[in-house]
Amino acid sequence: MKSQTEKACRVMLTLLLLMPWCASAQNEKIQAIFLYKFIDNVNWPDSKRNLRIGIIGNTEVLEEFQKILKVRSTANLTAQKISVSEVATCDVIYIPQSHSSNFNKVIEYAKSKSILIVTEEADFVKKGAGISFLQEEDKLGFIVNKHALDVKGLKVSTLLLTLGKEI
Amino acid sequence: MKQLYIVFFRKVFIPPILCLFVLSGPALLAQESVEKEEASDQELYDMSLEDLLHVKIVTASKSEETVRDAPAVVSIVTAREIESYGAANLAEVLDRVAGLYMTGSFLLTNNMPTIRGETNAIWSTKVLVLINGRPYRDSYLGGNQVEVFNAYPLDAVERVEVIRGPGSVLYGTNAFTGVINVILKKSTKNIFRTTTRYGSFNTRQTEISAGVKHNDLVVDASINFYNTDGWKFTARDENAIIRSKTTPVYDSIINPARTIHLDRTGLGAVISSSYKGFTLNTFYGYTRAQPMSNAAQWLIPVNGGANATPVAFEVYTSKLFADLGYSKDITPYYSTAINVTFNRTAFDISRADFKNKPVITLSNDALTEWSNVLKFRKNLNAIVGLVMNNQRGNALDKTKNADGTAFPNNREFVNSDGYYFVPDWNETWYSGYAQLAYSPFKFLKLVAGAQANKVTGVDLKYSPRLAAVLQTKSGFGGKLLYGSAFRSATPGGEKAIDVSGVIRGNPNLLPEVVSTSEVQFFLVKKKFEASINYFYSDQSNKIVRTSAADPSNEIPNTPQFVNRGSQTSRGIEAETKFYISSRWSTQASFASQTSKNDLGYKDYSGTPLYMGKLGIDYKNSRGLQVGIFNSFYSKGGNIRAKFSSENVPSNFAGTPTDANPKMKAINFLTANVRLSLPEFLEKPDMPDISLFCYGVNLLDQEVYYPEFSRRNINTYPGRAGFNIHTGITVKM
Repeated sequence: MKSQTEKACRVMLTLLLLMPWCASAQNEKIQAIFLYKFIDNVNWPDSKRNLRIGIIGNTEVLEEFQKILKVRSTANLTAQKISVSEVATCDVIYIPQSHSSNFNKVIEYAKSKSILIVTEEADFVKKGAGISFLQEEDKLGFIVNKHALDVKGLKVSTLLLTLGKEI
Repeated sequence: MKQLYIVFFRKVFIPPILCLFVLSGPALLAQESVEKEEASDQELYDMSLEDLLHVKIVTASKSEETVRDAPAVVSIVTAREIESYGAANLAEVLDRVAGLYMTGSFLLTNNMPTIRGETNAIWSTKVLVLINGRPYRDSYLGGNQVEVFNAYPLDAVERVEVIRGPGSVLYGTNAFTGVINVILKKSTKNIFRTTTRYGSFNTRQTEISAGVKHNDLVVDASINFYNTDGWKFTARDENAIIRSKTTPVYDSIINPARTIHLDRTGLGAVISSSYKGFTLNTFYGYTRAQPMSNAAQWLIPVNGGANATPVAFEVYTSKLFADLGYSKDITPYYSTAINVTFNRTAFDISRADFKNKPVITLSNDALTEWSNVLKFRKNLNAIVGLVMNNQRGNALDKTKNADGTAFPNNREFVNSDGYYFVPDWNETWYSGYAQLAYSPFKFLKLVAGAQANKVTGVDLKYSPRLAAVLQTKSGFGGKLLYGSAFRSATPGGEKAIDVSGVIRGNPNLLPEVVSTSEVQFFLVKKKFEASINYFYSDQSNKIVRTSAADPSNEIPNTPQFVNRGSQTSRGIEAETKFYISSRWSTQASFASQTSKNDLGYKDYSGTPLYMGKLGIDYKNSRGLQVGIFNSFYSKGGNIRAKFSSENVPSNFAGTPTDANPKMKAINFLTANVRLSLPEFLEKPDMPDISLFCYGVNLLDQEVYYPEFSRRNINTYPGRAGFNIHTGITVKM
């Protein structure tokens, strides 16, 4: 049995090593494009033009978003990875699911500020996020918390409200 | 070691990879250059918000939570995987699951999902099937699963969860070496789907599904029609061999192999609905098939010669499964549910030269379950339930008179009477279960549970379960599991059967019991999951049939059911899935087991000692999808033990003759190529139509199953050679 166990472990290890190494990020790409479109459909107080997008933690959404900015030559948008303590310096915050544990802190730092908070975790839209992604079967949608956005002085387009689910 | 690598790479990896290259040639050509890739990014960027909502995405499926949290070893097959790799029935889907060997018998096709090598009869009594968590059982011989595996509409399936290991604490009898839970789709909007296919052996299949959602009411309905002229089944039977009475023993073949076509008809219909707290799930399945016979012996016409065509023999099964449930959250801390599950199972056999059927059975079983979930604290909850299971039925032989004497004119006249070889049975079993789950820390969950079951004529028995599930934020975790499971003798075919000189039931049978210890390590990431586990099982009180010559037979020369023997088994199972990108995904598994019974026979079940499975799924930007799956099964275990001589292999000194070709290692390779027309034609507004071509056993392997039930022949042909099917799917 020992030899069988050894064989099985080795085969398993080989299987893992054989798996392709580079994973492209289709889902993250779609999320990044959505994020870009969300920003397009939200107006900040005083028609603020230069926006700073902060991404919490490591996620391929950041790379994908930066690709969009490059292609679109959008000079008024900058995106970078930030720590939670830098939330207040941003206009848009994206929280990937892997960093959901930071949500409460982000809400705290963003309190009374015109910051659009977008989360991958759908439930957070009920807890103060402005927009949250919602996966239904094999498609990605989103939910908008208009009240949370109003409180922050963010004006959201009718298109966003029409296409997204509203709570 | 080197040899194993060679076997594995040559036999498991190479066939699907080669096949992928061949089949995805057009796909690769259609997959234009890097510029095109970037152009497709550009197209995505240019999409409106509305268009983005229609883009398909991929995630690591709902399996994550189950794989992580469940106090059991679990594998998941999603609807997406079923569509990607192709399948005509659930048996083909299950054949791709880690550690599962899908087999059948000379009587019943695709009736036996074998987990951890456990086989001992033609009835599938060791793996419990659930539909949406409700038990699919019968009380005649406890293992008629032909309809669900051959006729269930795959379009209705959201995912299939396979638990390897004992599951009796929550699911009761028969959840012995595994549980297969078929979870149904629940529409979130009105939908309509239909799939029609045609292929080898004049096989025709049509599935139609519709889903309606109106406020709180959701109704999903699916129907599946299947018909095939069948593949060529060529085999020698038990009567083809005679044995010498000498020492050493010699076997000689005296009859040639004979051939039939395994034609089969199937119908499966599913309706599942929910309204607020109420659920109603129903399944009706019917199959008719032509097998060899019910005794691994050809029926030869009167005065038929050595080359005579066998008399047509048919087996009919039908099933009505219905579950009505109501659940309610009484408070945030307490929810309760009550379910009434009805299983009506009919199993008949007939022979073309008789006007009367030799076997007509019917069982009507109603199970009522009250289950409660109590959430004492955020980290402490309990499940408590009570079950009452009433089982009734009978079994009739119309080829005999009511007193059991032979009806002399079966070829000429219909017998208005018949002999009840299992008189009416009516038993009610009771059980209660409780399971407590406590998480002292975020990374640790402890589970303890037990089921007490009271079966008619048997003292109260207990099945315990203990589990510790460890998981870290990084996705790495482990499980330490111990559980016991049982299978009670069926009130019909095992306790009450009485066929003079052939088989006698035993009302005093105790449940057979298995205790299993398992350890598993897993890693679950967003796009990647892998697990490896080791199990050790100890079976006792096995329910077996004695031989005619057994001195313990109550009636001399009449075999009967008894509790006898024990067995230990152990093995390794590993699996991994990798969602590489929206275009590529892959999965692989490896399983190996060995067993030894109390007589010292090793690997007596005859099933493959190890298996390796690999699937690769690719989809390009123009809607072309290719799913390749290869299942490698090693040669089987010790199927000759009884076949050789007098069930004492150690005494056997002669040279046995195999009735049929030996069971050898095989690669069962399938490929499914699907083209989505809206994506291919770049017309997203057109109806969602896809064309597909599904090839099975692409390497045209000769697949032989071990004959582990009667053991008078070594093997019989198990699966068709190369076959191919094409079809169309329309979704609206």
